[in-house]
Amino acid sequence: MEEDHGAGAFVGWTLLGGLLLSIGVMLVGLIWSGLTSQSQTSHVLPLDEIGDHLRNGDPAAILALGILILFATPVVGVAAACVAFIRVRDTPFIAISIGVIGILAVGFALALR
Amino acid sequence: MAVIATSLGGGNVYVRRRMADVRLGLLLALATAPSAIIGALLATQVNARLLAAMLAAVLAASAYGMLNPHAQTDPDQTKTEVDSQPSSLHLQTTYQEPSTGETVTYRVTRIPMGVCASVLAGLMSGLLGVGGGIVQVPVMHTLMRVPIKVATATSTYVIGITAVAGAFVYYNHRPSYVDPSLTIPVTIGVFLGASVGSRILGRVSQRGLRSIFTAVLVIYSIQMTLRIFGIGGG
Repeated sequence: MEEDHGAGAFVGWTLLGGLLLSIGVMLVGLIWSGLTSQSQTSHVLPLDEIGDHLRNGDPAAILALGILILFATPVVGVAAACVAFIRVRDTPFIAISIGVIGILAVGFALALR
Repeated sequence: MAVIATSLGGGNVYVRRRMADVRLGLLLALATAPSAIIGALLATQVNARLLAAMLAAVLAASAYGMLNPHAQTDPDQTKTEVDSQPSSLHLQTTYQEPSTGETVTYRVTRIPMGVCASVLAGLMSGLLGVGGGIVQVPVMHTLMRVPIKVATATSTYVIGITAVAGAFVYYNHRPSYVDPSLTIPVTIGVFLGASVGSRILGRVSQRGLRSIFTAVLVIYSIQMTLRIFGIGGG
């Protein structure tokens, strides 16, 4: 039970850290947008264009990165739970958490079509 | 985005306090995540009024389930009962009730039925862009006999995973359904609200929380019904 408590804390802090990081990155994008006097568009950058725009210092890409960190955080949370299950050798839930990550990967792949 | 921020803002508190059952949450996510992807892919092709009618019906059924005294679960199952029926899945069987400091014992039942019902929660989440919690909390509480506080906390954790499954589809749709001008205020606002709400949950009684949740279901159901007839916007 004590091991479970540690795992809960590990997963919980991962979720909070990811959320705060995403808000921070989005705020940087907003401030950068103000400093460079670039107005925000009404639509976010497509996934396959974010990398190129980030290299050019586009604030819209920084904002999009913050959104993607937000989206990725629950996935990282599941990965953190998987690590915790590996530590306690909980085989059924190692398989279940890998299955959930796999399903989320399918969702990401479908979005890229 | 609001659902994901809600899940992260509230879920991190619930998971750290062991009020949310991560194992049960992941088991249900295995059902909700794929159905949320299917829902998100179908969302642009399904009539909005039909969606509203579906949601109104599901909410009304959920509210009925919450009001049904035979389906209500009180966290008073004895430890003997729990110990006599060990689960091979090692699901959580206790949580600490924040309002009293007591360790409450319970047992999760009808796991296969709960997983099947969670498919509906995922489909609703993907189709309507809402958190599946409005379906999942009644399923966990009335069907799986999970105390409502644990059900609420676990659902808060799961809805983020469910929403992410469909979120990339919404994000990369051309034009995208994500409005960048709303992202920061929505994320920060929801994070603050969820953080406060997750702390208030501990102070509310089981009965009080069940009443509040049932009232929300009824109001939401009426709102959806009005939307079918073009009243109230949407």
